[in-house]
Amino acid sequence: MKYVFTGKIKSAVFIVFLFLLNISAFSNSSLRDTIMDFNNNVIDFSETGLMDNVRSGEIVQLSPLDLKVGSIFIDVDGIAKKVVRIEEVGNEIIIDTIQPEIREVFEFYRIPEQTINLTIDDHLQMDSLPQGSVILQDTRGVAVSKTVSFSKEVGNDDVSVELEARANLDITASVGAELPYVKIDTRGTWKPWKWKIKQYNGYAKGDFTYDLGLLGTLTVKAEYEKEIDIPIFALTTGPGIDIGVGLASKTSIEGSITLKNELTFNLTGNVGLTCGLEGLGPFAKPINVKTTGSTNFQVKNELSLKAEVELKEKVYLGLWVKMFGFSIVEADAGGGPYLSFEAEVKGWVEYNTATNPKFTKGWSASGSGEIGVFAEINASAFNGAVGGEVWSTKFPFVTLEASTGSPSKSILPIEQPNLISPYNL
Amino acid sequence: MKRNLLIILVGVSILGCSFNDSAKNTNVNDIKNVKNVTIRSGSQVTKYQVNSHNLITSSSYQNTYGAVNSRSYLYDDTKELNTIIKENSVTGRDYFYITTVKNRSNNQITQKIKSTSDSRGTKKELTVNYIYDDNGKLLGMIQTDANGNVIAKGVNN
Repeated sequence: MKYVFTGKIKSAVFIVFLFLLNISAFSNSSLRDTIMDFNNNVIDFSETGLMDNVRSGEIVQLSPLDLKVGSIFIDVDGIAKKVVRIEEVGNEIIIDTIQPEIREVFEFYRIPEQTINLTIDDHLQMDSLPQGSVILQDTRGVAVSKTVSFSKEVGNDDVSVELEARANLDITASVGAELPYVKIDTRGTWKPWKWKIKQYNGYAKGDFTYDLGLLGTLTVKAEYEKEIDIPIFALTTGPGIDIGVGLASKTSIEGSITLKNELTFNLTGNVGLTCGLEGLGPFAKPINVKTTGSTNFQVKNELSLKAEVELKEKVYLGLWVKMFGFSIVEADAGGGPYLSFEAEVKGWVEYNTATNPKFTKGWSASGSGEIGVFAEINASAFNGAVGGEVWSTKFPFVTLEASTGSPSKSILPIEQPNLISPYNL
Repeated sequence: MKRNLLIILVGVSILGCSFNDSAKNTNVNDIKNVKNVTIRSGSQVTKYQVNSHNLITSSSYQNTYGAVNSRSYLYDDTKELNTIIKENSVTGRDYFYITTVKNRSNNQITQKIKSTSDSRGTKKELTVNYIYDDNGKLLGMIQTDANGNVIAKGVNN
């Protein structure tokens, strides 16, 4: 099929076509009715994008050898990049890149507001699963969902973290985004001075509702300061406009520790960010940033450890709306136990925001220091340009003061924090 | 002496033909005479091989989770990309096919249909329509999928 248009509008026809597309909200497992209009100079090496290029009215195929300093392209990994340096070493060309400004890549984009249910069934990124993982049918409750059983280990002889667990995950993402644009109303006259120019601001919105259940064993052996981030698996809508969630574990260790932690972790709640977007130049500026978040969680740790350590062990969900590598909205929600002491501990501690008392325990310990749980929610937009911490708190369970015999324990009063904290910049 | 000169001349002639053949390599899918291109973005690296026809013959990168994604590219005689073989170190091999539709009267590309199936076996089809003005100049292209998602590129107006 060939499209032929006449008159002055011919070169703008396909842009108009984009605006005429039906825009409506859906609740679905896939994105619908999105528009990505790339600047013509953007070169695309990703097969799910537009690999052809228009130069002087002709189709041109370009390769990485055609890249120059300043070129902007979509790499085969689906990420937008800008060339800053090219070096030739023998038969190899080495190209260094940075992330371009969003306006350098897109002439326009629109994600009509819609809700996506991210499920293990439909959105599990299969190559993110640790080797040997098994997907199980989970029939708890009314809804039938899937559970991922996995084992992941990182580290070496000095420090190693191993997480062996089952996780079920239910995410609903309500998203929307648009770049600012200008509409010219010619008002039926050919006289430009009578035309009315109206500027429409853009916006970005990402609102995630999450329900994570995790049951597993975390084993940590360490001898020095280290932060170990273990991505476990991800659910995603795929390349291009990527709406996703990743389950991860982050362990920060300072000192020496041998820890075996039977971990029950449930996290339910919501985190969201909305902002306006103004400016027609290359630097679109976020305005009126609002973040919200609330969470309930239950952490039960059955610990067996010997330590001189400060340790923070966080199980968290990373949530994102990305376009070709640009982070439109990103958030994370999670928490876990923290320890800061020289001690030996055997037993269990539990904190559950849904029960009274919230804190229960059954353990014996010797040493001095503090143990508790922490939780935090963060949200940001436009590659972290705006946003930050939405809410965070520490719940110290016990302060150990004795170093031998039966420890004197002072259980600190635990107050229910304000879990809903609108955050305005 | 004459005999030696003759042997040298024949030898030079054969070598000359051989170099000439190499320069006029008509195999658009040649994967032997390639340049290696490494693209660095912080700690992330993607690698390409580009042959003497300026066509990408292979690419690879490692994702956040450690899976290696490799691609091989195959072209038809007119240098149109028609197949991408995607190899993932965890999920295995996938094929991505591109069918090109041309206007018989002027040989202009009017449409490309890209078809693939993901690692779950779900088939996906992307259609790219090419838009020309009445002087035969390409204005741009619009890619659509079954959910009404649009990717467009072309002259900025």
